[in-house]
Amino acid sequence: MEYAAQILILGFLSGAVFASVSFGFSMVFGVLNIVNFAHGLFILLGAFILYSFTEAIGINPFILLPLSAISVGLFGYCLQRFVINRVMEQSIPMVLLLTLGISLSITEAVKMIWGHEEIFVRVIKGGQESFLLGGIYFPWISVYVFFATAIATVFFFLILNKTEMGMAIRACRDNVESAKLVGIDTNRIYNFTTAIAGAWTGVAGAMVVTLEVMPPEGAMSWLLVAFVVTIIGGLGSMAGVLLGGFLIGLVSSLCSGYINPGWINAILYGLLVVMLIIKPTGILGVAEAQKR
Amino acid sequence: MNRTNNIAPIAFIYQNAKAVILSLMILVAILIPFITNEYWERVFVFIFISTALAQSWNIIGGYAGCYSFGHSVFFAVGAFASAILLTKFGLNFWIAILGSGLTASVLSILFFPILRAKGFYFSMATLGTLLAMQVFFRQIPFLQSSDIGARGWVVPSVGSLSFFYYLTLSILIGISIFVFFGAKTKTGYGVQALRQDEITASCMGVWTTAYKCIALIIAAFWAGVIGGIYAPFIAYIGPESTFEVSWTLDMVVMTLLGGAGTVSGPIIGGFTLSLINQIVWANFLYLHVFIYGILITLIVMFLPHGLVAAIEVGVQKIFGMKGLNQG
Repeated sequence: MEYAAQILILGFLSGAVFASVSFGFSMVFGVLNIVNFAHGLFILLGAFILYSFTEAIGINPFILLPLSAISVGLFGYCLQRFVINRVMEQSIPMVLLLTLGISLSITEAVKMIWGHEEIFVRVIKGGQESFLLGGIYFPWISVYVFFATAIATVFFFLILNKTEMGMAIRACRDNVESAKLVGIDTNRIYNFTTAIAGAWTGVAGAMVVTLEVMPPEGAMSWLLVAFVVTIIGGLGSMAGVLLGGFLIGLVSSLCSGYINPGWINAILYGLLVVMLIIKPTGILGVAEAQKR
Repeated sequence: MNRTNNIAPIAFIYQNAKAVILSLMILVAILIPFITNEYWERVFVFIFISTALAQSWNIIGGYAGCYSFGHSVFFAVGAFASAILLTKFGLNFWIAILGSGLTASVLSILFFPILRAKGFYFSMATLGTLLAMQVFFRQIPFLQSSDIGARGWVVPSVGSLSFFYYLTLSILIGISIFVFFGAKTKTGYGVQALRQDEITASCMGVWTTAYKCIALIIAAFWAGVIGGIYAPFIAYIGPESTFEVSWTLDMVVMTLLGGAGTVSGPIIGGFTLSLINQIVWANFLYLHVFIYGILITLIVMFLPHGLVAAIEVGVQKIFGMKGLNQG
């Protein structure tokens, strides 16, 4: 019984991370209506930038999270402004291929800059790694990350819901034509959408690297995690991403606790395929499946 | 005096430019083993294999318009099938190839539900299937050879390098001829109607689901056959090397570079990309993937309709004629 509770708690804690790496993906998907294969890159860059800053400055990595956010946000802005905006009229698979090409190149550039080793940022040096509460172990780092994720989520929610830019972004998500009619410069909104998605995902990637090692090839697998979460939870809604994240966290935790960790990926991708076949809009999906 | 007779041969060459260029290319390809060394012969076998794979992807991706990102599942399954048939059951090479093609076709039946997903949902579902299948092939004991420490299969070679050279070349020519004539049959037109507009096609009475399934089975069969040849050629296959995403990526990029939905597209794209790859690989080994990624980006940005279309537009601009468009 305690074993089961332990597994559920760990799954719940990791679910927050799964959700936070996926918000940006869902946002770009909803507003720009493209599949951003460079999303895995945001996670990767967030992690590596946090690693570099921590090595250079040497203070608590959680204080340095905004630096990751700003750098990756800037990267997202440039990517959208100078590359993706030029091909927005092309078919979705072509844009998918384009972002995939960018992802390959930049992953290679990351290897050239940071080397081929996998990285890890250690937050708790020595001391107690976890605490006991009601017979269940809570790893300190997961609890820290959980709350940091919550803060980041609230912050970006406020940006999306309270600022003028956020309102314009939501207008573009709901109806591009109407947004153009009321005088919104959609290309500019697209730039800022990808920038915000990049910043959000950069923070998430930086938090991932405090939990587990990040290899330079990690972009692809984390991109697929984001995709699975987005599809299963529901396209175009933030609540869907939250639900999907916690579901995936629980499923992978149960799988490694009761079956075999080697099967996690097969189960996740299997879930993805089944979901795409029976209900492509996801559990909470409200948006139209295909706008164009 | 007789002007028409003087320009007749030139006009004939111009009107059949594609056929002439194609015959010249085949002639050169047949002669290559006599004029180059083993290194280039090996390089060309790889080029033929990847171009033939691109042509098989062209059936489902280019003609039917379903951008599959999991087509290399069939290639990998074909490779495993031929490896198992050759080593475990000791079958004849030709039967093993046929068996691997049929295995891939049978497996493609499992993909039919995925065809319900449209557009890039289909792309992502096939990519997910590819990755799930890789885990499957890593974990199931029957699919692993009994050698301790190796998950994959060591396959005995069945012929010399020249044998594989001409075999892969004829497979490439065979699949291209198949696609060329297949596109002109009733089924071929049905499949192409899907790409143009699926809803309109089904309103016109085209049974879209059946044509999609047919295209998938045929494409899977060819990919399986190529996988069946690849396994004894490369001598060792494992779940890591055959299920790599780069196989699928190569097929898609080659076809799109040349021009999807044309017979010559995958061939031109395949040769161009392979030669670029080869040059980059030989000169800047560490920059290889980097340059490959940039190449993909540039293709999508500047050549979205492929090289064939770009060349045709260029030729028309220079000569002011539309001769190359026919045939």
